[in-house]
Amino acid sequence: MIGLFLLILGYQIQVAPFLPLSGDTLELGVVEVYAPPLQKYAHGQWVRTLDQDQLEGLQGLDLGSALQQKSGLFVRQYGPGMLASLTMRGSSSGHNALYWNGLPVNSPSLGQADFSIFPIGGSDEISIHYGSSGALYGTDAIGGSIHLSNKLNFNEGSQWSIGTLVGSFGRWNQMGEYRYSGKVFSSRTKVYRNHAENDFPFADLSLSGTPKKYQSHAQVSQVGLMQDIGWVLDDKQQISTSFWLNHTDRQIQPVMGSKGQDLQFDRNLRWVLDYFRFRDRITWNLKAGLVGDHLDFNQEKNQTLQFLLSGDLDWKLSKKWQTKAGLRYTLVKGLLSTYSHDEERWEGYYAVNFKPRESMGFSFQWRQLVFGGRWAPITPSLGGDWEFFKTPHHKGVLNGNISRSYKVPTLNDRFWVPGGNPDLLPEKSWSGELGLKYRYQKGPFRAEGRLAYYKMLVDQWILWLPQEGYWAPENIRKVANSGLEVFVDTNWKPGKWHFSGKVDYAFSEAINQSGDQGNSRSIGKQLPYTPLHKAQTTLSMGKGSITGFIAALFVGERFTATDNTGVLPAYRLYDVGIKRSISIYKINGNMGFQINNLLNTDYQVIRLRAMPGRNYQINIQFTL
Amino acid sequence: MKNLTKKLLFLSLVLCLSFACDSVSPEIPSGEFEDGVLIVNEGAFGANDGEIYHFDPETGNIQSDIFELKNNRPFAGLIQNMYIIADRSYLVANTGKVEVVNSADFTSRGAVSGEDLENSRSLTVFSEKLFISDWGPYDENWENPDSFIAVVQDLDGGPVDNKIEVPSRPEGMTVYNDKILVACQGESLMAVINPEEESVDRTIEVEGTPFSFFIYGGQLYLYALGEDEILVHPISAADFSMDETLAFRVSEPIYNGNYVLGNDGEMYVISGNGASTVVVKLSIVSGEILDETFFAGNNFYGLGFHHETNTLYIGEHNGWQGNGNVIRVNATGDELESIPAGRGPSGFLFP
Repeated sequence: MIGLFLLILGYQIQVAPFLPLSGDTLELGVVEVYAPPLQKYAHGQWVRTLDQDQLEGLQGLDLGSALQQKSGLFVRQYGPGMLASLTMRGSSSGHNALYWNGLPVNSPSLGQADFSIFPIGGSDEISIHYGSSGALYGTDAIGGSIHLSNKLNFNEGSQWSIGTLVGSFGRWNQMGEYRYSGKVFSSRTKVYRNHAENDFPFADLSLSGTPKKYQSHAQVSQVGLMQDIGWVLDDKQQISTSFWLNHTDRQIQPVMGSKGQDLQFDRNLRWVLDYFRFRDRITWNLKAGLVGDHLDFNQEKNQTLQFLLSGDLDWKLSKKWQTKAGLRYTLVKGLLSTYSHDEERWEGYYAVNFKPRESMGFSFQWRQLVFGGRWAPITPSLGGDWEFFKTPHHKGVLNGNISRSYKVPTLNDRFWVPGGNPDLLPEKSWSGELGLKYRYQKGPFRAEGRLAYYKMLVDQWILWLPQEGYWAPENIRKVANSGLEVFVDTNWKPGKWHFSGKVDYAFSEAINQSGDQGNSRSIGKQLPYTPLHKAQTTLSMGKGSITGFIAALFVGERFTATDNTGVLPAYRLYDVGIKRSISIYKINGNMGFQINNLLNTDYQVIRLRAMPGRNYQINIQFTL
Repeated sequence: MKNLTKKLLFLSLVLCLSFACDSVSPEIPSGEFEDGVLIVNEGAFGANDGEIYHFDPETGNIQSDIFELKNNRPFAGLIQNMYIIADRSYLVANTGKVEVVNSADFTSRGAVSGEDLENSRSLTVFSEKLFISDWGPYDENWENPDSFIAVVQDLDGGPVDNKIEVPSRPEGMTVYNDKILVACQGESLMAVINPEEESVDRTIEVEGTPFSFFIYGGQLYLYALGEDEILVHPISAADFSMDETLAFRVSEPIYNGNYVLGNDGEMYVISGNGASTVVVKLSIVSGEILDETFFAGNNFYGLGFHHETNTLYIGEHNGWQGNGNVIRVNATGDELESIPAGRGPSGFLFP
């Protein structure tokens, strides 16, 4: 594999913002490995990148926890480190697409990703594309998509990093990393180990008197290896590649009142290779990728493999027109416990940007997928931004988008024995949104706010229902979604002090229109485990190298059944922490202390799944 | 004359006492949940959301989740069976627990403690002791070789005092002629337990997969399922033999073995395990199927019968997509009303 890496090295053309460096590489210009920006053909929609500052305090946690704590998105968590599935804009856990360095990593057999097995430290950047984006990314992106990216720099010389995090309930994480980058070559090798006993106390609601018990059978161990390489071939070409091996062993935390002893082992291999060729106004990209997932649940083994090959051409025709066209081929191989199936998928995609004025931009995208010889719905998308107001200190932008998305029935939906139905239709959606963005900047103060309203209709939603002797999937549910998203980000840096505040709020209505299998009491009701309200805010202040923060999370009531009779109460969590940057000779580092769930709130995200109370963590990281 | 006087005096005393009793002793009102219908909602696998609903047919009022309402905590289990035994009600969960509540108001009296119960199925009382059938743990082949009857010494629960090894998958039980009979599904056997010695006397082969016992006209029967047939075995009081089995051809009788006895030896069973289901009416008196399509619908899961009003209660699981419904049906098979229920309504009690 290392040999393979040496063959497929990468490079970059685009000059990136200057990054602070240590040692004698300080004067050198820093460049990044090129990656096409996600928002390039997404006029009318919003792509948000979570700040590194926000992620620092979450090192060692999983992606599900990060999104739960730092965004308005709701993650259904079945316990700390346990299954975490994302809902975006009130859609199901299979209605969002997860990408790693441009590779789709949703399981083709399950149609979704388990966000708990993606450690935060496994990527440098997390971006959220809000709203329907099937035309840009393909299947599953009905409610939106999440993108994990690795960033490589050049001209930084050698750098060693080590870090550790120690926390309550047996949490102990370690990380080691080595980077080397010169003018034309950049490499990073990273290894990590995350471990948590999760033996936290909780009130056992299943027993008379709700006695205090200590959670058992919830241990999580994770080890991983990552390798990123970038290589400048010449001033017109670059190659980059990333490899990620991740092992997660879990005791599955049982629901209160059960004595489950389930064990799950996940083995995930991901590899991607990008070749870019830059020529005048044209950028060629060839991408190859491999996603292998092996899931062993109580010794029942399920494996899937996705080989991906794509090529596209990005052409800046003029100052006003830009266009991109491409073709993607995916070979999906499934070796599941009850069936085997191979499938070829071809998809063509096209996008065009039109900027009639500097203050105005429109994007049109189109995608057509053929899977296993069947045609998925054509997915067009049209959106636009208009900067309607601009002064030296103020800026206002209106945006709107209308788009169609789809979800290919999963391999399990179509081929599971018994019950799989090969004739299932893809789930499909229409979505529209309007947004307003405002920015104010004056001196050391900056504020940015965003407000968006969306409506969405998802049809042919697949549910598994009991049939004669077994369960089988049907295209049966129809759901109307609508909601509001608010995001505010402020920064103020007077002198040595710095203050910041972030607020996320989401109002998500997801109303069942179909009543599923004749259950009329579900018609017109909010989908289960979809809170109407979710909000989070983080306030931080600091001086020089010391920063403190307080974060609050509010999750509203969630219905536990489709007829909305059972309700899980809303909960609020508060975290506080302090961190300090350290610089001693050539060693830079930071250390932090954090108290999570400060008020020791007893809460459940999913009914009867215990969550930890107040807990502490200390993290230290050094770079040499 | 002297005798007559004595008799009159005695009669007067009795009458006096009777009226006196009526006047000084207030009538004890029945408890909140000692009238109406208790709906057992089994709950969904993995969610442990089994609960009891109370329905008042006179007012139409439905009280959901009465265990949680009265005890300020969810039941947190999958309810396999519920029994009302005098002032105690027992909730038997196949997630490995038994809770004891007051029949009148559903407040907790206790529970079987410890970690001994695994997959509890049914319960009976003998000589102030609880006997609980339990499948025991699953092995790697999803079988239950270590099934048992748990014995608890206190009617209000407490620790398991003894485990009586029985053939695999003990389901329904009944006390009969000072023995406890146990329907063991795994090996199609009926175990005869000596409850005093807490041991198995012997086992008897059963045709079909046995589920549970019922009495009609003083005769004990064992309900069993064959392939596309329902088997009703009369059990001999002398030697527990089963010689004159009644067999009814019913397509795909529901896998959970739910049935209910109506009036006049009529029995109602569910045919179909998928979305399309039908209630079939049988007679264990004539041994014939009376109506192959007594009531048709979707997702039928549980049955109950109110003898006084001749009303059939049918639980619908609604494809397990959320909560279910209960349909009330009259003697001629006409729907009276549909009422909301919890997750997987599987049984009914009429206290």
